[in-house]
Amino acid sequence: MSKQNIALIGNPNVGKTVIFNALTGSKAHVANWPGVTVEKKTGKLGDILITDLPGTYSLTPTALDDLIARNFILEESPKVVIDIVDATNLERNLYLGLLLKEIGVPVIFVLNMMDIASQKKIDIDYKKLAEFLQSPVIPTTAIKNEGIEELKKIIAENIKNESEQNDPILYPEELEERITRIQNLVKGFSKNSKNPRWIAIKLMELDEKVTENIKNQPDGENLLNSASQFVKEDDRISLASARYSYIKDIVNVCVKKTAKVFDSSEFLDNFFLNKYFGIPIFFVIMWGIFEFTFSVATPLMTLVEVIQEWLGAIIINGLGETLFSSFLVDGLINGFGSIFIFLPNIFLMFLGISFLEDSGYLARAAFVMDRLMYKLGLHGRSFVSMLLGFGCNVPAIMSTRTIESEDDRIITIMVNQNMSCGARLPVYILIGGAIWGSGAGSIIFSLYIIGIVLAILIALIFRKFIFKGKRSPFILELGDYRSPTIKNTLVHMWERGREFIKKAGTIIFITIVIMWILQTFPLGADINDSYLYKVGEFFQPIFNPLNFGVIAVIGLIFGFIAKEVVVASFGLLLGVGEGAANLGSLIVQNLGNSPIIAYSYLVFVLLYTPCVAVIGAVYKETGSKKWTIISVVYAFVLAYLMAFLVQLIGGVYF
Amino acid sequence: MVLLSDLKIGEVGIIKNINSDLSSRLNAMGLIPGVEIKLLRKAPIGDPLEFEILHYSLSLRKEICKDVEVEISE
Repeated sequence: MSKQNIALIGNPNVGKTVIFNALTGSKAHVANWPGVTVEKKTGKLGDILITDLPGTYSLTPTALDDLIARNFILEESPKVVIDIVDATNLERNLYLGLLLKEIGVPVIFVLNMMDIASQKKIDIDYKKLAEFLQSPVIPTTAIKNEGIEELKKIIAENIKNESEQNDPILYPEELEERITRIQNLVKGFSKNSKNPRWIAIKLMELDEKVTENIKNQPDGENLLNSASQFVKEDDRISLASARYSYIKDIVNVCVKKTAKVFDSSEFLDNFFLNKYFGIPIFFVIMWGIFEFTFSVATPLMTLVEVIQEWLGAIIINGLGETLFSSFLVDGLINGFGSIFIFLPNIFLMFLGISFLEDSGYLARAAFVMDRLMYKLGLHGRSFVSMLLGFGCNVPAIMSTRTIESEDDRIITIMVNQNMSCGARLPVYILIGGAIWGSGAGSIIFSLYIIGIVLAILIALIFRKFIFKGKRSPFILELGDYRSPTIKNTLVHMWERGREFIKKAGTIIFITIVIMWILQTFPLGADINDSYLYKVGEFFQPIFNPLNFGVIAVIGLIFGFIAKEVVVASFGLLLGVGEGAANLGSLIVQNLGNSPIIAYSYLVFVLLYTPCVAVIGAVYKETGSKKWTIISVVYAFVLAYLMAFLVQLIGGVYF
Repeated sequence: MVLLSDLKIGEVGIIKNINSDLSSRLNAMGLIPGVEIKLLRKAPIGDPLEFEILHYSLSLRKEICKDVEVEISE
């Protein structure tokens, strides 16, 4: 790696993303860290490669995000690490900074959110702070772009310095003495060890990864044995205390709070986290986000459809009804259309979520809902994404990235498809309406309930049998409430939307083109002679036990692409228009005119894979083929079993 | 000495002991022997708890709080 390579690090909610965007011009490359689903963002400042490390409080090897950050610093040896610090809370934020200094990597400290610090009448003496930390300290207000130019300048200067002297920060004598002794043993053990002091400190803390690493080397056991005579039982706590008392000394000298200021966050929390109103307020806010997302998205989705039809008409007019124009219209335009149709939903949902996240409420939502969700095998943060699933599972699955722990996130993703999305509703209305008329409402409601109950059961099953290990802990900072800025929220939204088009888009597009081919060939054949019909006939026997006919099965195949097209495809297959009054009853005829079979068909529609976009989203968010396949397979098996159960209980077989 | 989970709302404790396999992470959040911690409120359903420590708000499930011993300060 001859390229210049630096890293950004910091506690969560310190404005790290804003600084990353300001430095890289928002042109981030987003991928996952190898082998895990934690997002890795990189970008460029001139020739310098900047890696955005996960938000962390410490560098302990037991937390995934911490370990990723730590390994990056140890293994990729960035020229400089930029530690972004919340200027309003140096006491806790500097702890991570001291851990970085211990590793021996050059650090630049950025004191962000200076505007809030000055509102809170906090006065910081940067020069003294820089002396204490033996590193540059740059004050910034990133959301107003203040201090960014200065930061760029300092980065450029620091990157040129070849042999930066890195004096360690010293701990009390008693500890230092033993650190030095172990450090000497480490030096003797491996002459070219880059950071013997850090290894010595980690040995005193009984750090699992460092110990394991040494143990696996020849003579490693010997080193561990001779080091252990200098290690005391509670060194871990002593070191942590030493860091904090050092920080306390720094803060006492460098930070002056000039006046007591009214704490608006405390005031707002008394309201938002109130014992009696906390939960109702949570539901009102969730309902608001939901309403906002889907009421604004609906006209936009219609617009996408209108554009699709308009383009289709132009092509048909220009080229006539040829195979090529059919490919363009039904294959390409519909293919792209199915990707774009979700964009309004995704963009608006992320607008809502980023707003909640940036304002500080999202953490509170997790706080309010955690106990309930924990009992259900999930996490406080799972609730929001489950609720969003009633609108559209695609953005709902994408919203799970606010859940830090991988176990919790995967379970939340896996159960989301059971939340009945908006696109399934037209199918319920069409078939339900044809059978139950005005009584269809309670039938439809029962489907939603089945989805919720199964989501909970499946979460519990996953927790019991797959993620058996220890539950991830709930250690959550409730940061100050802030007003989000339009620019940052929009940048955030755009990044997510673009990622969706790139990653999930491919899967959707390919599937649609395949469907077009099946539907169109052999050329000139009636729909009932098309390959698609053949495919329907081929798969129909699987559904014999459920009494679904060929037409019903083809409906399910279309529904696999997107539930939006099910109703239209029934129209096509049964040779009537989509809006035909008798369409519903024709389908019911196809289901043997039996309310029980029709209901079990609806249960099947509720539970099997919602659409290819969901598969794309699951793949993108889990980064794992295994989980993507599991989600499709379990959905199918569950749908089948439940549909069968409905008919069994309904007495179809007796 | 009481457990952190037994603190009453508004009460301030001084941390004495942490016996948790998460102690490194808790240390990083400021939970260190000798540091003051105040219970601000409980979530509407009673768990998790919200504390003030080192001038910021931290929420923890009760389960974790059972691993932390504090001395109530007058």
